Amino acid sequence: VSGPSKAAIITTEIDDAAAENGWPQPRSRRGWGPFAVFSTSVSTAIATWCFIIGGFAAFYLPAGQGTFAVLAGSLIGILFIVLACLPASSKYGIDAVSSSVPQLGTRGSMLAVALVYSATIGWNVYLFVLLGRAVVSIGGAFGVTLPDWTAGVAGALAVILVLVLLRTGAAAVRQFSQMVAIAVLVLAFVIMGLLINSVGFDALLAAPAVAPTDSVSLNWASAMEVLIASNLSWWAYTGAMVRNSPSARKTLWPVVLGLGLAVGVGSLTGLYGGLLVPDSNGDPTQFLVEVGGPVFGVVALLFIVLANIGTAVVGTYAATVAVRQIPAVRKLSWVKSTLIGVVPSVLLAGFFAQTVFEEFSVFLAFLGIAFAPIAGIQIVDFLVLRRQHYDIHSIYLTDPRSKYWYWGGVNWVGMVAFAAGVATYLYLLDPVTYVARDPFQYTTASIPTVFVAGLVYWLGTKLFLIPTGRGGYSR
Amino acid sequence: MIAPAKITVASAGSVAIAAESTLDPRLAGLIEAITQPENQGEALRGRDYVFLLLATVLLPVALIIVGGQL
Repeated sequence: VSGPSKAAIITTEIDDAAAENGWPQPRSRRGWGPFAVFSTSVSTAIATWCFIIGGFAAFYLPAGQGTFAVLAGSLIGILFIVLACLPASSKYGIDAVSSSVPQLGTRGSMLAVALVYSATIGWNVYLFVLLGRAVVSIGGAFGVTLPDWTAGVAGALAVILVLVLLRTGAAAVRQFSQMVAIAVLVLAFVIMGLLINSVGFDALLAAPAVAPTDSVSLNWASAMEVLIASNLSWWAYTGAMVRNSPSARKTLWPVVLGLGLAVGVGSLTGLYGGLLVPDSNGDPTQFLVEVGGPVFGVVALLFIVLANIGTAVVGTYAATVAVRQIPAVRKLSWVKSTLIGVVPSVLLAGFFAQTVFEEFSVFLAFLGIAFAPIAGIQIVDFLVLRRQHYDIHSIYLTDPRSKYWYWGGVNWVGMVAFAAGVATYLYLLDPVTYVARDPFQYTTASIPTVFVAGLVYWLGTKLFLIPTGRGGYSR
Repeated sequence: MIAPAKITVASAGSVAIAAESTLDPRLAGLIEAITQPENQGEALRGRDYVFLLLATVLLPVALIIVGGQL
């Protein structure tokens, strides 16, 4: 190999290694412009899960108020993600897990890996469950009443298909993700049009919320919490995207609009569907044939099946990359690593599809519990305590020489702050029963969780870390 | 499109970092590069934060107020 060619090969190898391992990306190696960030954001956020997010909001608010609450919640949720992820990841070209090392410790950052893995797997499971329900509805369109377990079997088979695709053509499938996202968005607007056309605009506005509480403010807070928590889960993806752009300024609005507002807009169809077909929970597979006719219904259902497989491939890839940050898993082959990413999906989508679907609210609460505290901690740490400076060398050192070694590789101040955030969320909103406590109806659960976790981290740093010289903070 | 690389793979500095920390030499080179301000991403400016807060705090508050009157 000649000199220049060899240099090019080495450069490519470094680019691949940096991408796969979350290594810092120098500005000169970042080639994503605003449109690339925007389109990738949309393809990450827009999937058929938007329908059931909006469907959940339909429990609490009618169409008019629900539209405002959904859009407001989506914008508030993305604020915390932008502040937590964008400045650090854009400055140093690092992903979310790497950027959590200064707050959690070199070993404590495994908590971030676990959260990313759980969130990506969770979203995937819902894709498989929706896919299974679409298959049952396709059977219904042809007059065939498929048994209940068909949804589980279809979901499990889809998981296996995703595993095969990941083995043979993951890169090619990932390239389709942007097209899938655009198509899902188009489908959402088409379904919205069909719904409104079938009953009329006045009937939509008059449709009552499915199961509202007696408190107006509690209904608003509950609907907004759904969107805030959903958008907080983009913590897992935002760093990985913006690290590819040379400028935080050029990624700001693509992320706000593509990850934040897009989920709100995409969820409106689910909101309207949930209001007009209350038993659907916003899931269009339950009413597509009815409102669109058998031909459109079957075509749209088939599209949902394919779209969910495409989105799940990307999600499973992300879960696999996350779990490969654990040293023991990194020693496994890629194929064996993907098994770790799909086995929970097979079990949950295959055997507990109905239960999983009915417990969507618990998953949404988990997203708030998991990512609101870590967002609050990172915002305070990077923007306030460290004044936008990390010791990058220490992020990648995994021994006591790292400034982020703390106590045996774990920053217990970060862990306590995280736990304080979790406790705050659990106090305000029971994730299983969705019974709320004051002042949830005025604050939601995720917003106070961000602030409490950040405040506890700030106090712990001032009281324990800085005085003992841990964490690389300037005195 | 990935811009042409401006940093070298095995500069003296990166090798030194690798030797002292047992980091992968490729990673050590990237770390050395990213610590230089000219290799870091362009940061948000004050007005970016102002517009961000307008869009994600003030606008949602306005939506809540307007929606609450429906």
